[in-house]
Amino acid sequence: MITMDEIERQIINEFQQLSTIDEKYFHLFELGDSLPIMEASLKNDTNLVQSCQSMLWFHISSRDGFLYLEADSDSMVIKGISALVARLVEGHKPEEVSRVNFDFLDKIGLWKMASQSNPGLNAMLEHLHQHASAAIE
Amino acid sequence: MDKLSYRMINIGTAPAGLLGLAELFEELYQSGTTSMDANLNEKLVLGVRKHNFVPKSAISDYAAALIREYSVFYKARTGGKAIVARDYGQWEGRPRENIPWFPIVSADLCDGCGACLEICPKEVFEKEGSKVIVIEPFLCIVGCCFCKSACKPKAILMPNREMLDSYRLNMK
Repeated sequence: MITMDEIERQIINEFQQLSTIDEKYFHLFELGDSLPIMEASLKNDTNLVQSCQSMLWFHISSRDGFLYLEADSDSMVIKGISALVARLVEGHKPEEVSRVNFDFLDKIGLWKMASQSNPGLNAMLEHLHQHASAAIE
Repeated sequence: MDKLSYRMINIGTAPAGLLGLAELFEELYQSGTTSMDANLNEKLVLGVRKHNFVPKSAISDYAAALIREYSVFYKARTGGKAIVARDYGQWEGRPRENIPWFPIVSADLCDGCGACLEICPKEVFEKEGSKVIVIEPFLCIVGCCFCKSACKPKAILMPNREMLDSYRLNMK
């Protein structure tokens, strides 16, 4: 099983192959578009990521003790980031997911210090941690 | 008649596309109009009206926006910078300037923290006094709204994705 650190390195490497900001963004948007369509019933208040200025839904499910994330957003950039987060979370234990952070986003060459004090990302992370912690209990 | 320049600027809280702005600014500059000219707002609004519709109810918003834009132009021009039409590229086959996708910063809500400046990989924003303003709207990456998510006082307004989808549909 590939570790979360390895997935982060894969993502960083993938973005580093792209030379311009526009190419990186295009790739991010494509990743967002490639997310499976989220069922309308899952776009409920429980799955709505609070405090994120865009509409963002995270549905975290558990199968055989491993977590999976489905996501959708009305924002292309947030959806793209969600696709990266879904990749990171997929098939990992709640204990690992509850410790995840978004520091890798600072290394993909799109934003300076994206993970630092960004209310939208903090809201995503908090939602993820809460649901992962609940899955441990 | 030569083709007039086209540019979008923020008027109040909404974007508006204007014809002939570059030509007007150059004409005013050549005639010696400074950014502190007592009649600047009148000259700008009258000039813009030659090629654009300016609603009476929005004259003061237009004047404020045009003075802001002319001040930036004037500062660059007097500083020796060549003012050349910038190529903003295309978005899905259309000139980028024709796609109204860029942030609008509410001066009332902006606390000048600069989080948007930090997060934006392009040079869309600039600090002006204690506020942040949008100086290069068409450098904004179509579809991106990350600055909005970074803005704690929620001062940034972005178009929604449906608008882009409409453009895509209409282009087919």
